[in-house]
Amino acid sequence: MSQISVICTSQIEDPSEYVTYLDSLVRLPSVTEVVVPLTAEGISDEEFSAIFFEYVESADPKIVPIVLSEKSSRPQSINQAVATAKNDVVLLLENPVMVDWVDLREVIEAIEDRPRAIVWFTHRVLNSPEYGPHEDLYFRSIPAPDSMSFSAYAVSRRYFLELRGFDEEPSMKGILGPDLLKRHERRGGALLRLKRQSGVVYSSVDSPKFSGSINFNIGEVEKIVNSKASIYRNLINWSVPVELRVPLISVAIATKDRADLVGESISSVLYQSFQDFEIVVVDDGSEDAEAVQEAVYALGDSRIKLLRNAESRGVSHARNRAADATNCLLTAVHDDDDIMLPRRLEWGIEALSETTDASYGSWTNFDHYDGSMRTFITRKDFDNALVAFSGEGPGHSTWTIPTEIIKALRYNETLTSSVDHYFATRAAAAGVKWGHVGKVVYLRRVHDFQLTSQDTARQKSGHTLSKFGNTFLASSTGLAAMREEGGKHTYPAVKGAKDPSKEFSGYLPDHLVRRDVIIDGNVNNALLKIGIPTKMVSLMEDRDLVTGICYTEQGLLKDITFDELVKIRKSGITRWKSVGTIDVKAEQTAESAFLHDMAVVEGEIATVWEKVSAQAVGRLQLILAVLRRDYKNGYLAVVQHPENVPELGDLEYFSDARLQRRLLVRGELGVQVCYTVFGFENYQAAVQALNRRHGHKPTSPAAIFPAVDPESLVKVLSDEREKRLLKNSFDDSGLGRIS
Amino acid sequence: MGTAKRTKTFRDLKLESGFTSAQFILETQTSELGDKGILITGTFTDRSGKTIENEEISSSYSNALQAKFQYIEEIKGIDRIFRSKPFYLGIPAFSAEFTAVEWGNGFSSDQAFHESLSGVWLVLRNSGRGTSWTYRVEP
Repeated sequence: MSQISVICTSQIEDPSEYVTYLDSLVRLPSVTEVVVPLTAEGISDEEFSAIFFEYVESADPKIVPIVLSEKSSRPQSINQAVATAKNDVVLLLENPVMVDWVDLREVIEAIEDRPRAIVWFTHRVLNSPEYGPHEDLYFRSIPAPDSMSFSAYAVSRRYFLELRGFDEEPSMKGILGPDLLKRHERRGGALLRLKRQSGVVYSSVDSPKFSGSINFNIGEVEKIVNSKASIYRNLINWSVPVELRVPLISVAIATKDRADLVGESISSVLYQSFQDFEIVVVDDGSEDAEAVQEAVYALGDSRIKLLRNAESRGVSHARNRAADATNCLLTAVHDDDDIMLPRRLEWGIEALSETTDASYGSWTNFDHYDGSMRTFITRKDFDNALVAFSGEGPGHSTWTIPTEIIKALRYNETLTSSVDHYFATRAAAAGVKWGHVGKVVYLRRVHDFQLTSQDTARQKSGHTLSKFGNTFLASSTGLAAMREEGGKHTYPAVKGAKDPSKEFSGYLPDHLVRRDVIIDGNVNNALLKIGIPTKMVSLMEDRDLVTGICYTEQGLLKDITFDELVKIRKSGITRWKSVGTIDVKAEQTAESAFLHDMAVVEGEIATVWEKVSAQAVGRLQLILAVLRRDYKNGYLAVVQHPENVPELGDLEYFSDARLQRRLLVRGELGVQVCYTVFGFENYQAAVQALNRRHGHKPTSPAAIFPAVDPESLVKVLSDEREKRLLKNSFDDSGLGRIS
Repeated sequence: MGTAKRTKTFRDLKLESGFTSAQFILETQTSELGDKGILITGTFTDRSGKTIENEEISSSYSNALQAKFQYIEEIKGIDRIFRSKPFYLGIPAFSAEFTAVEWGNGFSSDQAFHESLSGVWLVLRNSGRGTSWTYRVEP
């Protein structure tokens, strides 16, 4: 039997009215649970708690209370409530409307029929709540104000999670439905309105309101909603537990006879910043299918599906098969010999909007044998005009595209090469809007066994075919106009275009680089979790001395392998960066690693000191930037602690500091520097603080950063001296003493 | 043969980010410094702990002291605050040792000499890195 979960997005302040309202919901047929968030104030109110919980305990087990708190905002709590709902269809209520006249079975059936549609209810206001169930309320009511247009809507739990729920960013100011429905609309989602009886919810003029509801007018709401163009939110940090999420994107990989490379290619998916994906690998008839299977299964990740063609059916067939095998909303195209940069999926998804149906980016070629790199930048806004102008296409492995477009248009299985170009051109002709993410998104391996290097002639003819296709779609005048239009497409400014080695070599395969990784977050715990604590060569910790809050914990890990990059990401670390030094003999033996370490011990202590201090100074500059943002002329007083790491700094002398931090940097070979750092609004306050400290005969050195200009220092010392003299003479006169 | 000059050494001043100039600012507790005189000699070591050659240091040189130095000079119109000209270095120093030496007529007592040096500040700059620090030199 069809069932539905009702989710109220807030509570009614008056407990009696709340209980009455909830009772009207639980009595509805098909409703098996009503999730009710409670505000912290509500819970702490004795009268509210007494009435509410008496009702919950005695009346109905269908009521599921959840508590809103500072730790869990309203969007977070509701996202979690939807994720844990018992039923596949949820009815979200943003105002306490009466749904008695809605046929919920019809709602459930509509969504079961179209799982990615949203059913939206018209909200009307009655001038009296006393009408009976048989009266035609529609004509006894007026439309609710625009600000109440999102009072009730129903959605499938899965689709809500695919849209990544309500945006949890504070910048959205807790707006729920208006933003969700707008995003749904941006991806071309259907908004269903049921026939009048089932499509209308009512409230009366004196109906209670949910507390904590958004009080913006519709214009303000629209402004906030339109301030973000993307469709999918909460991509990296999301309060919904991982095990309750659904994959949003399918990474489609077609492979053939690349057992030696496919593992590395998949690993680059596994270390992505965005983790709610599945990977569909289609083995297109590899000679050694077992080797491919072994390479894939060795990765031990349940998100990977491996499909196999007994004999090769061609790359187009493999791509179509990958699309058919997934139910994910989106597909990211990836090749079996290429390497994604860590934010490739995040960027691809983030770029999708009302004006971008499918996204693409730039890429960097790397030589499989010597690691040399070259970046390729494609023009923005790929369309048929661009094809007419230059024939160029969006690089295939950079695509993030709704899967339904692939399912609808299909790769042409009669082509063996340039299948992507032909597909992209047909998609553009069909109205698909392509948008450039403005970044290099993957590293493309150049080697002797790649399809494009073996099949160049047919590749070129495929491009020509796509270009030629245009001639059937336009007159010669039209084609000339298209060419002119295509020429106006500009190139995006892409980071790493000029010096790709500097930017991307950290992500090259193990045989080409020595790799260091900088990670932010709970470094020690993460390293213990993944079992590589000894690889950490330096740690930086920046902690508030008053609250104990750790602002930054940043670790530098040395000689990290590609597999370890995956482990680092899987440990929950989201902020990390890999820095590589190209070394074609990088696959070192344990012995050579040891010799390398010994060399460090013998000659490089001074260099380690320099690195450690540079890290500390770098961090000090960041702290200073924060201080100067808040206080225009901010200065730091920095105290060095050569021996012990203090738990508390010289707070006594620096109690007027605006900012009190402890900065600890540890490097290789036991090198360590520790500072306590105090922020002052101006240099005068910093100089005074150091003078106060000096009076207590400290032993450790202290300094002001940045330096106080000598003229200003002289001035402040002189002023201080004047004040001291004045105070002394005042004290000596006895006038200042209180008898 | 004159009497031995009084000296006070500020040892082991380290700046891990390195510096290419060093200038003293001094607040004295006595009135004597105005009439007498102090100069500061400096020796600097590079990253590897090697002493930086005199050719790399831009300041006066004393044959008698066999050292690079700068005078502590009075600032006109400002009572009891003094300063030196900066020592400029061709390569970054990571640690330094400075010695304050009395010159001219000499101070009336050890106490007067030491009180003259009770409030010492050192402005260090690294022109290459663009960083700068003002040190409160502790006794």
